[in-house]
Amino acid sequence: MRLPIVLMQKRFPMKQLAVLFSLTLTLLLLFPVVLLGQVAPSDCQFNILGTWQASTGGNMSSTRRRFGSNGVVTELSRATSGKGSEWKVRSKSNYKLDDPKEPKAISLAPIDKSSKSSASTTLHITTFDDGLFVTTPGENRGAAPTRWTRVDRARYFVVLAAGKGSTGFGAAGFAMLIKTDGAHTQRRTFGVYPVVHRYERHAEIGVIPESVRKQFDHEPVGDTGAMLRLEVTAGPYNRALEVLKTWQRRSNENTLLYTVPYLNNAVYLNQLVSSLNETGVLTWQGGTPCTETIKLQKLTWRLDDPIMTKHNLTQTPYYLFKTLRQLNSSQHLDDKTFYAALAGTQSDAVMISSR
Amino acid sequence: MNRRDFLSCHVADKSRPAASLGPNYYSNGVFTTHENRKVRFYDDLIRGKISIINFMFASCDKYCPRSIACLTKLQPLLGDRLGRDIFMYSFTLKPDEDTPAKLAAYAKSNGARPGWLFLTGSEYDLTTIRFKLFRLDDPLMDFSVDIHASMLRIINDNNSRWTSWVLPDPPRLIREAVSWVDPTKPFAVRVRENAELQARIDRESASTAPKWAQFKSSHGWAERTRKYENPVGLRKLQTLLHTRVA
Repeated sequence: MRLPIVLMQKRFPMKQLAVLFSLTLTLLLLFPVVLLGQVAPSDCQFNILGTWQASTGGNMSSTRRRFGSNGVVTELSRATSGKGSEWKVRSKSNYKLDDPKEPKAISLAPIDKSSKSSASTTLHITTFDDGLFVTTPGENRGAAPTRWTRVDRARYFVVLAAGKGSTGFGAAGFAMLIKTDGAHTQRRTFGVYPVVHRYERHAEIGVIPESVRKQFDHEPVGDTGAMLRLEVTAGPYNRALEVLKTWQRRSNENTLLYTVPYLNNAVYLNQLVSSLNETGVLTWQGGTPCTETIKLQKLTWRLDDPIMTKHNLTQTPYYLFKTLRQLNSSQHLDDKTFYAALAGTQSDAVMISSR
Repeated sequence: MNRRDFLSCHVADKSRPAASLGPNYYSNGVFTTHENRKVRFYDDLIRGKISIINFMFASCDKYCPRSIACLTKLQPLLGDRLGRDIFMYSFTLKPDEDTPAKLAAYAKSNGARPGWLFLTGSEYDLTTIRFKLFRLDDPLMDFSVDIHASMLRIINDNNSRWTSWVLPDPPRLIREAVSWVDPTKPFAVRVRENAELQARIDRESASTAPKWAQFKSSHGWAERTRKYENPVGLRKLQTLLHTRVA
């Protein structure tokens, strides 16, 4: 107790001590801000507003839930009438997220007809994305998790395709991003493709010509090529689209990072594939993890990189996609499923189970 | 077409030095200086100037402090040319962190004089110039911040001479590297400077020769040299060569 008295009397008058105290308080208040590295970037932040559909153990719930900005979630069920089917309000509950941007739990309190809410139940949120979150019951952690998928009219696909080529001259290797709402389908492609003239051949990087893309309309036979088709949610799709657009801009503005098309393509495809799981992949320090969309094989360019050390640069896309296909074979959409989904004839259940 | 137009028609763009690689090569992205001024990369920073360019970030505590300290010490060595025809540009590697205000504080703390700008911009533009100027053609190194925080690029746009240096290093060596991109001097000037330099070397050799002889004799080097000179063998060889030639 003597030290503070000495401080106050001689070396630290009261005024200075007050300043010191307020400075410490300010630093303590700022502490969470200082820990910027722990705050997920905006791309990974959760937004519950909208309509979601739950599925447990592959069984899709017959109802949907619409989370409003007023803290009320409305349960909707499909009612069939003479005019067709429509979604009708079944019940309402109050909901609360412990942290709206990075939630770990959600509590639901049903509202009765007299607008009184009863006891709430808490669900733990184990993972989230802008198009998906997974919950487990608060009291029973061993129970099967429930997957909540955002009901979106649009469906998103990522197609990674490459021909095997040879060590001297590579075949086409590209990514195709597809967004479809049943009526309209938007396709974007970017990657490397071979240009063969009569006496000369070379590789170009850019939007893939229709004639080359059509060669990959169906899955390659044997080891002539590698393909991985995935259905993803809006989050990973938009991140991958940002990578594709950036490289397309680089191609248009003559600001590609390297002079060798194959090297540009390897860096681009690596960034695009990483963006399915990460945000901020276009920065020099690489991405920060979001939600795991696929089991990833990254090109690290180090001596322990199994693809870059064993294979020629011209065949990098082929071996990268082949590895990714092996790792994510359960998620791969075969020709039949893929084209049915594109045509909009597939049921929602197939869409969920294919993830 | 008159004779003047006919003779100068091969000059595509008269607004920039004929030897310059131009904005199509360097790109012309917009950056913000630590003085909160918007500048275009080629038009405002490169065109017609000697540019000393490096990358850094304010929170870097590994390589940047020593690299930036070198550049601080380089400023007086550049004399009045800094801010006149030589300019120093330090671009951030972390645009999301380094705001113009933060860079201004960083510039002040490092004693930046007029002619030394700290710049930030979009991730796209920064990556573009980083690869245009510092590309090593190896993604492992090209995406390593440690490597980029210690590289220096010196460009003279008037004659498209480029050179590079690794930081940190004594500022006088960096000053020497800056002179490499200067325009080639006229022949007469080079002859005179070479003669002056040779005279200086001779003077220094003459002044150090007695000390050097003393050092060699005190360490027994003179005897050893004589021992291994093998004058007999040398004479034999000379005789042999003369015989062959004859």
